[in-house]
Amino acid sequence: MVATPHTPDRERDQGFTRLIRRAKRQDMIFLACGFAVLAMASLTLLSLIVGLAVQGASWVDWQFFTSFPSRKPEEAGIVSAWVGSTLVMVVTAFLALPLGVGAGLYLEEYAPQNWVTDIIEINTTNLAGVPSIIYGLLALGLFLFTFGMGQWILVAGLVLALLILPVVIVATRESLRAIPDSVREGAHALGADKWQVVRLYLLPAARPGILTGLIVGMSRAIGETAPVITIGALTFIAFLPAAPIDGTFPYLNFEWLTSAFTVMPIQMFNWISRPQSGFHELAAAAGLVLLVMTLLMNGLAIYIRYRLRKAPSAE
Amino acid sequence: MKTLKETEQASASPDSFVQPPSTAGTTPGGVAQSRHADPERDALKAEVRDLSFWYGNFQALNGVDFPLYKRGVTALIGASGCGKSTLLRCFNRMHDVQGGHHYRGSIVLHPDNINLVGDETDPMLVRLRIGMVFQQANPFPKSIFENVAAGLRIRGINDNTILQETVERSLKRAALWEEVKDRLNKPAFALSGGQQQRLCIARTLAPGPELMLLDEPTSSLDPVATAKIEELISNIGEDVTILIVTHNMQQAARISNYTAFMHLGELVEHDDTETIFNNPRQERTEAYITGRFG
Repeated sequence: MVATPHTPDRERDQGFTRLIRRAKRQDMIFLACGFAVLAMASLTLLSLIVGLAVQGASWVDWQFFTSFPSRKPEEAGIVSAWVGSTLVMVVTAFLALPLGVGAGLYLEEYAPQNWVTDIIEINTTNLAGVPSIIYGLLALGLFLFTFGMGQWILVAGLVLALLILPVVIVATRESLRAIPDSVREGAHALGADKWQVVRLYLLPAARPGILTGLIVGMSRAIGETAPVITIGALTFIAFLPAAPIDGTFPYLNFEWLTSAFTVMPIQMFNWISRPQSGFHELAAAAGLVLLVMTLLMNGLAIYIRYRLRKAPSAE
Repeated sequence: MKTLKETEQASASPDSFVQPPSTAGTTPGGVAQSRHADPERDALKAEVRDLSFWYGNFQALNGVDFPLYKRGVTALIGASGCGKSTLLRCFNRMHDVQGGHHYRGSIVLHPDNINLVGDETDPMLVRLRIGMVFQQANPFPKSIFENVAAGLRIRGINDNTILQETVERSLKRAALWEEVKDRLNKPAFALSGGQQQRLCIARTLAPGPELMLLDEPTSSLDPVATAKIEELISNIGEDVTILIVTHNMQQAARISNYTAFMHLGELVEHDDTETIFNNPRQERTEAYITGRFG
C-alpha cells in the first residue's frame, strides 16, 4: 500500500513497515544467491587444488624441479618444462608490452575518432575472443612456413604475445581513460607537448593498470597448450636451452631464443596420455605447480596495483 | 624556449617594456575605459581585438575588444554561458587541445606583439609563456614537490638546486610553504581542496609566466580557503598580469583593478572595477551587477 499525505498516521506507518520488511526480504534473497554463486566458484577451484594436491603433492620435491623427464616416473621431473615456460613468458612479456601499450596509447591519445579507428577498436575486442588454436595455426602458417622459423622459444613467445595483445591493449586504454582530463589540461597548460604529457603524466598514472593487464594476460598465456602444440613444441626435452647470460663478452646470449623447448601444460599433457599411474600423479604434481605459478602471477598483479596506487609520490 | 634565468629577469624588471600611456586609449570597439595618470598602470600587457570564436558552428564569442593592463588583476564577469571561460581559454589556446574550433580576430601580446590566436603562433609557445589555473584544483598524481617542479621539468630544467630554489620560492609566493615544507615528498592528493588549489597556483607561478589565467579558481572552495586565495591573487597581481574569470561579483569587486562584463558572447563593458560597480555606463551591466538578471 502506498502512503499518501491523506492517509491516517497509523495506516501509513503500517504501510511503511510492510515496505521495509519486503525490501529487507529481497535483500536477504539476493545475498543468499550471491553467496551461493560465490561458494560454487570457490569450491570448484578449491576442489581442483585439493584434488591435484592429494594426487600429486607427494611428488613435489627438489628432485621433481631439477630432473628432466624420464621413462621411469620416480626419476622424472619438470626442469625443462618450467625453464621453457619461464623463457617463453619472458619473450611474451617483452613483445606484448611495447606492442600493446603502443597500440593502446595511439588509439586512446593520438588516433582521430573516425571509421578506421572504429574498425580497429571492434577488431581488437574481437581478437580477444578468437580461439587460441587459431593463433597456433596463424603462427604455423606465418612464422614457420612463410618465414622459415623453427620450433623455437621465440616463436612460442611471438604467438603467445599475439594471443594476449588484446588484453594488454584494452588494459592500456582503460587505464588511460581512467585518468581525468584535468591532468592532461593541466600539463598542456604548463606548456607540455603531447609526448611530454604522455611520458611524464599519463604513462606513470596508467602503469598499475597496464602492468595488471599484462600479468593477467600472461597468467592466461602460461597455461595455453593449443597454440604451442600447433607450432610443434616437443613433448620430451632432456636438455636446457643455452643460458641467456654467459661469461664472455657481451655476456648476453640469444641462442636460447632459437632453442627447442617444452612448457608446463605440454609436459602435463604428455604424462596424462601415458598408461602408468605414476605418470598420472606426476601430471597432477605438475598441474599443482602450474596452478601455483598462475596464482602467484595474479597475486603479483594485485600487489602491483595496490602498491603503485598507494604511493604515487614515488615518481 | 625561455630559460629560467630569462624568465626571472623578465619578472625582476617589469618596467623594461612599458608602453606609452597613449596606446591604452586607442583600443578599438568603443569599449568604455578610463585613463590614469600613472603610466605604469596604463601599460598594456595584451589587447583583444575584434575576437570571434566558434566551437564547430556555434559562435561563442562575437567581436570582443578589450585591453589587458600589465599591472593588477582584471576580472571577467557575466552570467553562465556568456563566453567568459571561452575567452579566457583563447589566451593560452586551450581550445586547441580538443580541436574543432575556429578563431577570428586577434589577441596581441605585448611587448613583442605576437598574435596569441594567430595560425602562425605555436600554441605550445603561448602556453610556455602564459600560465593557467583551473576551476577544479588539478594536481598531478605525484608529490607536492614534483607538482611545483613540473613546469620546469617540461622546460628541460632538471638541475636539483634550481628546482629546489624555485619550488620553495613558488610555494612561498602561493602562501603554502609553511604548511607543506615538511612533507614535500608526500602525494599532492593528501592536501585539502584549498591547499591543492594554492599548489596549482604555485605550479603555475614556478616557470615565471608573464600572464596568469584563472578560471573560477575558488568556485569549489569554502569561504576560508577562498579568502586565502583571494589575498594571494591580489598579491601576485602586483607583478604578474592576472586575468580571472569569476561568477562571484563580490569577489570581482574585492580583488580586481579592472572588470570586463560579458553577455551572450559579447563584451559589454570594460572599465575600472570601481566604475563598473558604482557607475556603469551600460544598462545591461547595471542590471547584472544589481542582480536583475543572470
